[in-house]
Amino acid sequence: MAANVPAIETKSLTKSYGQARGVIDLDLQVEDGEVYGFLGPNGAGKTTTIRVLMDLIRPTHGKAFIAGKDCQAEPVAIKALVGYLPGELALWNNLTGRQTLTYLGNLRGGVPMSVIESYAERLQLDLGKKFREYSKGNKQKVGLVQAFMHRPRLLILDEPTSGLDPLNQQEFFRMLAEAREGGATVFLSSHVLSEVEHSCDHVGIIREGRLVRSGSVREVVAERLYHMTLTLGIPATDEVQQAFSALSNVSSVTATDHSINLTVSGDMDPVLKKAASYPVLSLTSHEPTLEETFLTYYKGT
Amino acid sequence: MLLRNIFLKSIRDNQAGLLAWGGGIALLTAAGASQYPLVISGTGAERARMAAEVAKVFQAFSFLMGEITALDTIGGFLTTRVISFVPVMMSLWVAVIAVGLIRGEEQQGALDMLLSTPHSRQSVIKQKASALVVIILIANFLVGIGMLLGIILAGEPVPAGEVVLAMLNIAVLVGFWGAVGLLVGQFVLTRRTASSITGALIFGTFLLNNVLGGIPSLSWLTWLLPFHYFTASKPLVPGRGMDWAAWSVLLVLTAGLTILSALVFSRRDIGSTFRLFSLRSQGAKATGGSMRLLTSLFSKSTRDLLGSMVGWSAGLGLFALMIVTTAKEALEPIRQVMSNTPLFKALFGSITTYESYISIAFFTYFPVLLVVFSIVQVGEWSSDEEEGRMELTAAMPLPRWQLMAARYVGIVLSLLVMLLVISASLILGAAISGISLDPGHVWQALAASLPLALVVAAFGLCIATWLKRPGAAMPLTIAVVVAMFFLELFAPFLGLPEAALNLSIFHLYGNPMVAGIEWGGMLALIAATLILGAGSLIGLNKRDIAK
Repeated sequence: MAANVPAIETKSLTKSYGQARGVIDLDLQVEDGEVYGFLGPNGAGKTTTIRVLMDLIRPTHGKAFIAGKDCQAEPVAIKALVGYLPGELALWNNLTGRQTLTYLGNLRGGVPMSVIESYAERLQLDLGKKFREYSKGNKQKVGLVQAFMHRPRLLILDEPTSGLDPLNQQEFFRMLAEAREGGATVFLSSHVLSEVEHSCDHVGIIREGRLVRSGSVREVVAERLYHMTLTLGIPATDEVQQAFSALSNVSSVTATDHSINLTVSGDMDPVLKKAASYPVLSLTSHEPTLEETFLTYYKGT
Repeated sequence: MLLRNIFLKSIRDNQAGLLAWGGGIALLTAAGASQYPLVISGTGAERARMAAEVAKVFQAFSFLMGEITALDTIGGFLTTRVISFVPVMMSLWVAVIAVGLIRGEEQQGALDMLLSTPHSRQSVIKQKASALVVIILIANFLVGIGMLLGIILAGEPVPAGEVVLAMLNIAVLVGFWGAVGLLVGQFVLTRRTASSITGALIFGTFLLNNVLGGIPSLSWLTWLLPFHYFTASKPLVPGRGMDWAAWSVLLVLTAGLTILSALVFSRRDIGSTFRLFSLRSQGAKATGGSMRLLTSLFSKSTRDLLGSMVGWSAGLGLFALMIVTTAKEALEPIRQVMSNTPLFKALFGSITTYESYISIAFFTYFPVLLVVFSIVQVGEWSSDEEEGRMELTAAMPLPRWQLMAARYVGIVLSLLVMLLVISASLILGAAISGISLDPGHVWQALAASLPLALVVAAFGLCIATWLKRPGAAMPLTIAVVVAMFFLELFAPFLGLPEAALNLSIFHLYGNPMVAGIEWGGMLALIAATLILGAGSLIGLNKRDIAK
């Protein structure tokens, strides 16, 4: 891809389905060579965004670009660059895995059977079975092989690990790492936050059709919330609780007897200074999981 | 309310079809019955003479009508003219429903969920089969009402009790084929295959029963066919009545097949079939199948249609062969009676040559069958999109129009193969029976059917690409085609202007076997095909691919 041109870019992208929401004013940028995790609850607009990028559906307003090319104006050119795995994979029940992959390879100008077989071997996929005979996980493997087999410059993968067992998930992440080392860009949607944390450079969080957070994984992780418990030498009265509640970065204050439980985001300094004005017997703090951080965005709190 | 249990839900799933098919067949029945005074008129000896002449004409179509009996009575006329084809139509419809009850839900994946509820497989199939019985009874009730209405319109005395018995007789035959559909669905993986097999069995045994019944030395073979037990009862024919033993045979067979389906269903894997033998060789499994015709969208589209191409070509070819080889015997009695029967004159014009006979006996049905093929292709396209199979194909680096163009190529190739096979059958049949056909007219009649079938495909595919839900395209296409068919069928009686008749594609098709291609109509069909075809390409290019 040309230098300084984002691998994926959307500008005020909106897709509405009558009364129902799709995505609203989505501005997204994925740089060339990065692995971008696209997160959000069910129905948030992840698949809608991906299907607009693939020109399967057309935006109501706004534009989507892949490698600087307008997805709607130059769909054939962008599809030649992309390896795509849909969220719900449906293929031809009467074709075997080998026939399916040969056919899809032919539609891309031909893919050597040795490449197909090599990916199938890595994912332990039996190519001789008909598609209808595959389990959900094996169907997903067919989808993954067809997305990787032509060595695309951009991989767009909608929930790629869905249905895969842990061993095959590991193999998939190795394939992803190899693609990245080879210079490919990856855009994947997922619900599995730990795998996003380990495999992605950037994340975007979408909720109710709007991008609510975008940044590097490091930045988002730095925004983690902390749960803190203070045990005081005095009873945790309403007055004490209100003193902590008044702090701008404190949420969810609860008290039992001499203890106060706080949820703190970002800078701890104001909390520690406020605590210092009371007789503190003990202080414990624990880091919430990344899931809890994301759930904050999901819930819109 | 209809979602309270499996039984009611199964009725709910089919209520629209019940109204459409039950109502449609009831209308056809009413129309058929009301034609009686146009075919047979007068009283006493005059009526008997006309009935005898019409019987000679009907005899030429005995492979479709079976035994020709008592045409001087409304009951005999209805038995010959209406009860010959109505049970076949109803059986085909019910067989499709029956296949869908288990195999259809299984193919959708909904059966997994249904069987995860606290209901045994026996209970599921029992409730579904019971729903089918109710659907059959309601449909028969509607058809019975249609028949009574037609008799009243014909001004004949109403044999209400006999009509009820006739409906009971149809119900048990239709139920039998429903049970066959249910059973076939246990042995094959797709709804389409199971429906096709059952449909072929229905149509094949129907023709066989009629043909063998007319050959004394072979008529004993009809005892092996279900239609034999149906035609044994002729409650509308004076003096014939019901053959309760034959009726009971069908009832027992129906019950037996249903119980067998239940047993097989309870023993097999869901998502699989009941296999008596393992047919697959390990070698074929290891190679992963043939790679032929997987090189492009166009070749894959043709590959997808190979099965139906062979099936349709064989079926239509045999139909053509049967008509031509019996033309010599059929034509003479028709010639004799044609001039005395106003309805036939109005409907068919003059039948004096082999070409005109084949035009009526074959080319009346053949274009309709090709249109049915086109409608099936519309359904295939819609289900490809709605079931998600178009998602990855549309994500390939190919312009979208190629998806649609490939489908048209497949359809055109299939139609051309069918036309070649039919023309070979016509030539072979003519050689066997020693008659000569005008080759120019034969080719024109076959060639003219191509735009007729294509315009329907283009219409269906066009609306499929413009509708939000492509699945609605098939029923809409059927509705439009049926309306056009009736417009053409009843045109002689409606006195409509030519401009109105030209709205029917069947009118535009004309009578090329006798009169050659009517170029005005043909050009209109070709123009409509091109416009609708372009509309489908534009529609696909503009639309959101459904999921």
